[in-house]
Amino acid sequence: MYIGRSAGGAQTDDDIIRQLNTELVSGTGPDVLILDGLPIQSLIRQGMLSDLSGLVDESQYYGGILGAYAQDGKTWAYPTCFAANLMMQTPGAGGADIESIQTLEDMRPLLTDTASVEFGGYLHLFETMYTAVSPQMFPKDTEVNEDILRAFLSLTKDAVDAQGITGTEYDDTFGGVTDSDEAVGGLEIYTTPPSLGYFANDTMSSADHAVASIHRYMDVMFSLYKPGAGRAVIAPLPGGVFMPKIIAAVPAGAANAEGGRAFVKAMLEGQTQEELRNVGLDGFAMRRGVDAGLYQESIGRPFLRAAHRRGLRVFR
Amino acid sequence: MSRTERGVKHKKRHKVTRRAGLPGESRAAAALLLPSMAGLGLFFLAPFTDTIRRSFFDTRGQQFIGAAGYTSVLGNSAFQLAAANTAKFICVCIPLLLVISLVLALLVRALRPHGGASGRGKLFKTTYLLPMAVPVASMVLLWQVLFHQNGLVNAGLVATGLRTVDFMGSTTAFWVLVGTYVWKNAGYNMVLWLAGLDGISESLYEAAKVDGAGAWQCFRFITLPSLLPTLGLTAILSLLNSFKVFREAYLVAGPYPHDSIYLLQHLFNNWFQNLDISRLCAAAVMLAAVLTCLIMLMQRFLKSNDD
Repeated sequence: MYIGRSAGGAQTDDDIIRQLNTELVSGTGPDVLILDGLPIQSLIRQGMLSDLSGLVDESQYYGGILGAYAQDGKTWAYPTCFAANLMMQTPGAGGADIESIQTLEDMRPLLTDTASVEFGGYLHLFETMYTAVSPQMFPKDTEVNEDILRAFLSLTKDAVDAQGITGTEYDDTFGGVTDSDEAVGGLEIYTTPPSLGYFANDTMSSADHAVASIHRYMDVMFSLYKPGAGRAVIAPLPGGVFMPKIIAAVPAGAANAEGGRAFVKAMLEGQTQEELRNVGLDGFAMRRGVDAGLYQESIGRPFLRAAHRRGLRVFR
Repeated sequence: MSRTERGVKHKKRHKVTRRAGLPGESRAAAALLLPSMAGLGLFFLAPFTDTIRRSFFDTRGQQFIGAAGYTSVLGNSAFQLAAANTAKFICVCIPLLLVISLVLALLVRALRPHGGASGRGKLFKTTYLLPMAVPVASMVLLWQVLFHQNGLVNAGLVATGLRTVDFMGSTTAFWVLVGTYVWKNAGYNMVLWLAGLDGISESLYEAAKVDGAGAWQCFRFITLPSLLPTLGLTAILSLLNSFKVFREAYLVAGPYPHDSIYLLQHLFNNWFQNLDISRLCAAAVMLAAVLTCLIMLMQRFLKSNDD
């Protein structure tokens, strides 16, 4: 059973979640849930997910991320990939050196300088910067650190004032689309790795697709690159947050629970993790060594040699 | 045995052998009501019974949790806010709507001398009923055009040298909601009042005028007491319609609007989105109990006035 939305449909996310919840409560839900966008903690608290402990050999994966949904000794869901917030800066762009940035406060000179970076609206600013403080802001699921929250709101307010942000990116009634992808002064902040498929064509292999995400940065750099200025720098956003994606779980009471568990296990196997690159996965593989292996394999490919010669230093 | 005694015996035999059961008319009524009762049972009573059951079980309906859902609801700050807002909305809107619609009904009736229909009376009646026919989506669009930060109302305020108002992001949102509710339902209630006014006998007013009663005395001692049954019906329908204002509030301001218009329906919607079924059911049961008590009190009050 597939509960979702086809392209161009009039359903909203809320409509889909409502339909899914109705199916789950009545016991006729799907055998596998992809929990992205769903209230995962609430589903765990309500006992709506099956225990998947021991499904895979966790030593083969990035444990800190794989165990994101483990509570009370049980694992309720497995992310099959993850994203990392990255900053990329062209050399000589001015402003703070992003490699020296350790906290969100260190980013203040960059965020309040429109020559360094530009945000399209409140939503863009919030979504970009929130993960830099979210672990400290919510030390426990039901508590908020008010000091961190105040500091975050104060910094974002200064950024709003300095950049003259007056609304969200797009107002349904009054229009006004703002392109939030332009890098004005050479700093790009990616909340997710850029989408794959830049070089997509039928002859591409998994290896080619795997590193296309890394070379998407180069696509941006080509537009920013100043000959002789040196190589671009990529550094993680403060906070050290990795975002689990394509989070797979099996609903409690699923009709075919064994089939659901087998599906989740298959999504985490090495070959599947490699093949997922072919479908445009917006993230890094959960299994250790998959991305690094594909990257090494790609180094010898002709059309990437020129890019590698630029000396791109990649975050791993 | 005399003829009379034989007749009585015959009658008694007939009486004893007559088939016991409902008279024909009652049986016909029951048969005609049966589909409606079946629908009521299937689509209301059965789901409501299941709701009561689920309020004592976990989300999957398998583990008994007792009254934990109820205590959790009563101690929940979001529920307290939503309940307070809903109560405030009802206490402000219902009396306001009843008074305004009654005034409109009296005015429309005044345009119909001697109880007959007139063009002007019909025109006003139709005009006041039109808001009920406006679709919710159109209402929402109108709301945004008027009350958005860059909307017409703020444009007018700026043109007159005043500061703009954040209608949907401040406590003003509550009064926007009240205004929308009253505007939308005034016509409907006006029609109910008109039906009640038409049921008052003209002879009462004539007799009062003969005794020297003025317009205010006629209204106070004849019109108002005669309208008590209509008041009961109108108040109950207004109470039930007040919950429908959630549609406009949700479409304009989303699932988490400004605190002043965060109603119980918002809370129920959000709890369902989070699959918090036991709390949702517990809150729904409590709301139904409160509304039932309210309606029963109202009916008792009206019945005592009737007596």
